[in-house]
Parts: sequence; C-alpha cells; structure tokens
Amino acid sequence: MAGMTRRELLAWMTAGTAGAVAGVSWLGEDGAGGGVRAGGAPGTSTPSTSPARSMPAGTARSQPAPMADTGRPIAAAQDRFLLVVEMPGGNDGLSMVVPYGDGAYYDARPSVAIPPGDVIALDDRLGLHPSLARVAERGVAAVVGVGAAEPDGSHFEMMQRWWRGDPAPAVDGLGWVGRLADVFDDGSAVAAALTVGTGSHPILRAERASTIAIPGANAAWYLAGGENPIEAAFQGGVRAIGAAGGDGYFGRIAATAGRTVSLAERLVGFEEEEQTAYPESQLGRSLLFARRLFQLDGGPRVVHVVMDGNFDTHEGHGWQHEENMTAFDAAVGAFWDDLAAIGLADRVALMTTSEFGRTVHENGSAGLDHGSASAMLVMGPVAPGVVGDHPSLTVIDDNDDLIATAPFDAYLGAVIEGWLGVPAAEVFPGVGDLLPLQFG
Amino acid sequence: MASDPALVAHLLRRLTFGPRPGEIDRYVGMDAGDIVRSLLDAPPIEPAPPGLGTDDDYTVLLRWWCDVMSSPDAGLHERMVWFWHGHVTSSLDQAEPRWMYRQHELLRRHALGNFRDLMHEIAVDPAMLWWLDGAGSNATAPNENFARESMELFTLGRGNYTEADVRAASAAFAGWWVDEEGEAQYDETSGPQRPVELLGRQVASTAEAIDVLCDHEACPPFIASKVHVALTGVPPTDDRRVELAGVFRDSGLEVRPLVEAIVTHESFLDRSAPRPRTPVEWWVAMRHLYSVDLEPWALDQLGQVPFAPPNVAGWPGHDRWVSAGATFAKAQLALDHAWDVGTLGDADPVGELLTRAGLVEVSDATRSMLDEAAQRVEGRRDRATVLHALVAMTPEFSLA
Repeated sequence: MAGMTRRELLAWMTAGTAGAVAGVSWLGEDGAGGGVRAGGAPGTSTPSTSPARSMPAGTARSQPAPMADTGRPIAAAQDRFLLVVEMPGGNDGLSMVVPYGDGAYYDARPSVAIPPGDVIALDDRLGLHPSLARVAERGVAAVVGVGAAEPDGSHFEMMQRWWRGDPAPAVDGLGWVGRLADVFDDGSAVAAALTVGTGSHPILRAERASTIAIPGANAAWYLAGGENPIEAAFQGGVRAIGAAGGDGYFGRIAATAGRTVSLAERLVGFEEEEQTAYPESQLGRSLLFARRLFQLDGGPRVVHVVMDGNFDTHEGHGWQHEENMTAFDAAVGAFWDDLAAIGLADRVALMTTSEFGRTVHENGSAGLDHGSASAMLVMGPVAPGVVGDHPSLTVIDDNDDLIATAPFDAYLGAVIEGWLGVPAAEVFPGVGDLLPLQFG
Repeated sequence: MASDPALVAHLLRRLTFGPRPGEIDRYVGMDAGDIVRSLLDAPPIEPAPPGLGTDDDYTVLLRWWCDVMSSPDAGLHERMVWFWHGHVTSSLDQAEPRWMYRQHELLRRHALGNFRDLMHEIAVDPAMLWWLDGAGSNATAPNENFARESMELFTLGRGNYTEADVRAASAAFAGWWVDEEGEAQYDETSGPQRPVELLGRQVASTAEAIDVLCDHEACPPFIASKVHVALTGVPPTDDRRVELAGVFRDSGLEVRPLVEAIVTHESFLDRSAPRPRTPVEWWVAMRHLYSVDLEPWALDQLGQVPFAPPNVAGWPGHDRWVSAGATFAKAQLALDHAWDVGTLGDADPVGELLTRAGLVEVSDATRSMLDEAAQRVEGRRDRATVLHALVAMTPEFSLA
C-alpha cells in the first residue's frame, strides 16, 4: 500500500460496504414507565499489576454444542469471544466519530471541535478522532446514533439501563451479559462471563450462569497451587468455606468463595513469556488479561472491562477526551496485534459502550454536559465503516441533546446475534430491527 | 433486656468500628438500651491534623484517616463521618489532599449536627467545587454537574426535580472559584445576574438555592432513608420512613435526633439479617484481629479507598462487596500478613481466636473447617498463621 495515506486506505477499505442504512422506526414502542432505579452505583477499580504467572498460547477449546432449555441447539459460534469495553461517564460520540463534514458541528463547539484536517476519515462526512490511528488501521465499524427513546441525564439511571440492556426506564433485574451467559452457558465453564475489576457487577447478574469478577491473574496463586503446608492448609480451608452452603449473605459469601477457588485452580499453572507489547495502562493490562482468559480451557466467553479515564467532561473536554482516545488506541492496537500473532484475531470481537454521549453545544468551561445518543465502536471480523444513521446536529431535543436514531438494544442485539449466533430476542425481549452490523 | 455476647457484638459492629479484642466483655450483661445510649453519647474523636505539605500527602492523608477509624474510640460519630463522606462525595481524584482534608473537617463538624449547615458549607467547599466542576462555572453558560448531583444524590432523589430545575440551579450555583490558597472566592460578574425559578421559587444565589433544596418536602425522607440504610443495612418501611422524616424535619434537619430514632428502635436489635462488611470495616477488623499495621493502599485491592469513592454516588450497595474479586483480594491480604501474628494457646486456639475476632456465634461448618485446619499444621507459629488467615476468610468475619 505504498503511497497511500491512512485516510485513503480507510476510504478504499470501506468502499463498497453497505454503508449507512436508514434509521429504523422504533418510536412506536411504549416505555415500561415509572421504573424504580436499582440501588447501588457503579464502581471501577484498577486491576493489580503484572501477573506473576501467565497462560499458554493457543490452548484449544472444545465443547459439545450447548442446548437451550427447550431442547433445541443454540446456533454455533462456540469458539467466538466477545470483549465489551465500557467507557463510564458519558463518552462524547461526536468527538470519537467526528461529523467533520457538518458545519453545524463547528458552530456548536467553537473551542472543542476537532479540525477537519485532523480526523481520520471514514467517509466524506464522518471521521475518527485523530488519536485512533491503530483502530483505524485495523478497521472498525463506527455505529452512530445509539441511544434511548426517552433519554435521561443521570449517569446511574442510564448505566442501569445499559447494564440491563433495556432502553426503557430502569428497573432492577438481570444484566444483559448475565442473560447472554444464561443462554450459552452449559455448565462446563467455571465462569461463562467475567468482568475485570473488583466488586460484582450488575451487567453480569444472571439467573443461573456462573459469572465472576477478578482483579487480575496473579490473584489466583493465593487460592490454588500452594506448595508448603501452610498454603495448602489455607487453601483447603477456603475450599471448605466454598462448600459450606447457607442462607442469605452468608451463603452467598460462601458460594462466591467456592467459585473463586475453582477459577483460581484453572488460572494457576500456566506459563507464557513476559508480555511487553501492551501499554502499562489499566486498559492495557485488562486487555492482556482478557486475551489470556479467552485462551483458558473452560474460561469465559464474554469479558467485560470498565475503562479508566474521565469521560464525564463537564470542563476541559478536549484534552481529557484525547487522553482517553489515546489510551484506548494504544491498548486496543496492542490487543489486536497480539491476537493476530497467536491466531485468535478471527475469533474475537470487541465492542464499546457508554451510558450516553454529551451535549451538542459546549458550555462556558470548554466542556460538555450530559447528553444522550452516542457512537460506539465494533472491531474484529466485522465489515468496517459507518453503521446506522447519524443524528441531526440541528434538530435536537429540549436539553440540547442528539435524538437517537437507534435504540441501544438494537446495537447490543446486533452484536450477540451476528457474532455469537444467539438470537437477539432471547437476551433483549422486545428488541426491534437490529443495526446492520455484518460479521464474517 | 440484658445483653448476651452475640447481641453486644452486633451492636458494636453496627455502632462502632469494632468490636475490638476484649471489648465485648465490658458490655455483656448491661441492658441493651443502655449500651445503645452509651454508644450514642460517646464523645467524637477529635484527631490532631495530619502533617500535610510533603510529596507524600496522598498516603499521609489516607493513612491518617484509616488510623482514626482504627482507634479503639472509633464509634458512632466516626461511622457518621464515614457515611457523609459517601453521601456528599468528593474525591482525591480531582481535589488535592489538603482540600480533601479541609472538607473532611467540615464533615467531622457536622456529622451529628445540622444538615442544612452541612449543605451550605459543602456547596462552597473547595474540594467539592473542584470535584463537581463548580470552580469557574459562569452563570451565562454554567456547567450542570453540582446542580444535578446536589438534587439527585445529596438532597432530593430522582423524580423530584426537572431538567429545567437543573439548569436553574446551575445558574444559581455559579460564580465561585478556588484561589491559590485553596480558599473559595466569589466573583459577582460570573455569578447569577438575575433570579431564576428553582422548584417553584425564585433564587438568585447559592445560599438561596441550598435553602430551597433543604426546604423541599422530598428532602427529609430522602436523607432519613439513606441514614437508615447506612445504620441498619436495609431501607425503612414506608411507615417508618414517614416517621423518621418527621423526626428529621421537626428537629430542623438535625442529624442526631434522626440517628437516635433509628438506633433506639427495637428493630435495631434484630440480628437475623446481617449484611456484608464494607472493605473498610473488614480492613479495620483485620487490623485489630492481627494486631498489625496494614497498608491502607490494600483498600484499593478491596475496592474501597477512603477519600476516593468511585463516582459521585459514593459507595455501591452491599452486593458489590460480595465478589470473586473481593475474595481474591482478601485471600492475598489475609495470608500475606499472617506470618508474624501472635501465637495462640494450646488448649483451644480456635476458640481463643474467634473470641478475639468478636465472632461469638459461628456456624458448624466454619467451626469444623477451623478445627480441621488447626490439625493440619504443626507448631504454634504455623498454626497461628493458618488460623488467623482462615478466620479472616470466614463468611462470619465478612458480615455485620
């Protein structure tokens, strides 16, 4: 590809794809109305530093075809993995997938708009944030206009909705990754889905599937593989705690200990050379850990990572958002290079989420307040280019926010159905037409 | 009602950062109501300030507060300081240690004091101004962060205000900035230039806006509920909520009468539904059990660093503390620090350690697990190591 600029390459790659499709009509749906917001709030924690032990390359997975409760087999894709990268705080879609071809963008944001010459063009209207060079090179599906029919300005309300996978006002319930795990988990995995970080996460809340949160790989050797009598006695004791059973929180603490020991036993004993290609950032460490988890026999199919970084840019948006995009690009770029080197690149898809975007107009602090619809990125074996209908920058709602052109369950559903072969309606009841993401 | 050790342990777990070794014995046999009253009346700790002004300020500040909470006198007032810290949140993520300390002093002053006074002071507190972007907010294009969170999370709860109220409040709260000395200053030209309508009333200043929020009928039940959850682990029934809101409102939004109404109620003695200990509670209990100086940064592994809540909603609910991640982190801490603990007697090392841990009643499963572990190792030192580490991992040690 000598002589081609990066932008030209991207234009060449996206030529001939389906391109933008007219927004689907879903505005007839009734909201659930008056949902009670579940207690608790999101928490993120940085995972521990470099693991003391690691895992081998290319551990093969093999599983019998899982059957749904109805007895019919679930569509294949057993060897496919999904990585969900959550950007908490409200990631500004307009700064990640920039409408550089629309003058209204520059009118609305005299100081924080990204100059047209800086973006990495996806087509003649939209382009990626300048820091997303490696993402652009790999190829990415930029999904635009994703939001909710009745958006809300509260982080917690919208996070609850996203974790449940339902754009209607939040009610307490299972998480979408949990429900997804319920569909494909046949009991053979110690953890069907996993989140990297401490604290159990609402997105993983499942009916029966085993889902888990873990800080990082080196945590495991306190709970398994102990060689001296003290370690062995300790680990035996924790295993016994795990087998105790019981009611209420007592029972839950015991059961959690049991599952944790099981997972530790699987994580311990792997070996791999020290990995230096990933950046030393929270996201870098998490993605490396995710890759190792995907290689694990009986490991999770879905890994969820909450990215560090201030996305809630009420002031100083420009530099803070750039930091986030730079961190994302470095970690994700390393991730795909790593997957390609070990032959897993065609078996992993990555998707981003964020509870909302930000206001169209900047405020007086060179910042952006809470918005609604935003853009999401999908990478892996997916047709690159713009997906969905970009919302208007001039026909906006009373809160100065974009009007979404697709509900976010149409986005989440498109990924699980197109990539994992799980019918979207099984995890997102009532979902309408899915966004046209094309996985190959 | 004369109290047995299990009830005493329950009250100490809920009303202090204990029970500390030997403490249960002091209260056994006393009337439960008298124990509650004595804990309610216990004087607050008034710690000497931390020595800030070095490169190590973050660690100094963190260690300072952890030491206060680990003090044998850390009682109800200390628990309420912790509660307010998770309610009107700010964080070391965006505010320097010296400002976080200054805000902490504010919380210590008002922890069992007046809520309205607390809100007036917090609205112009430098750490809060930085954390919720109030600093430098100009009324012509104000940012909405503090306005929204002050209503959603600090005073009223969702459903009690509109987006228009958020915009009005943000104009009313504008005009403040923080100077080099860390003092909040007000600039007339950036502040509200005309009255705005907030929740149906006209306001033209930060103070007026705060009063409107505190006067709102949704405020007393909202706060009463949160304090009830903090002290009992569960939300109040609808009737109880109305009752407590009345107490709070009628007292002029004084916190102490509200707390008193909650903890002197007979339901407070109910031990049937323990909740998970928060990481800070567990960590303090570990310190007492092991009689060792724990590194406060270990709290990061456990998912709860004082002065640094994950977001403006403060600390997540109980379920978030029961997780594989917490199990991993606790195992690491429990084992890493167990190598130098004091030895136990030969007669009943398990019983001795459980007493020290304040675990008066344990399940059969836990008891037999510990007994078996005691048999598996030889030598007093090794036995002490294994037993300390395993007691720290029991479900009972992680419950309050």
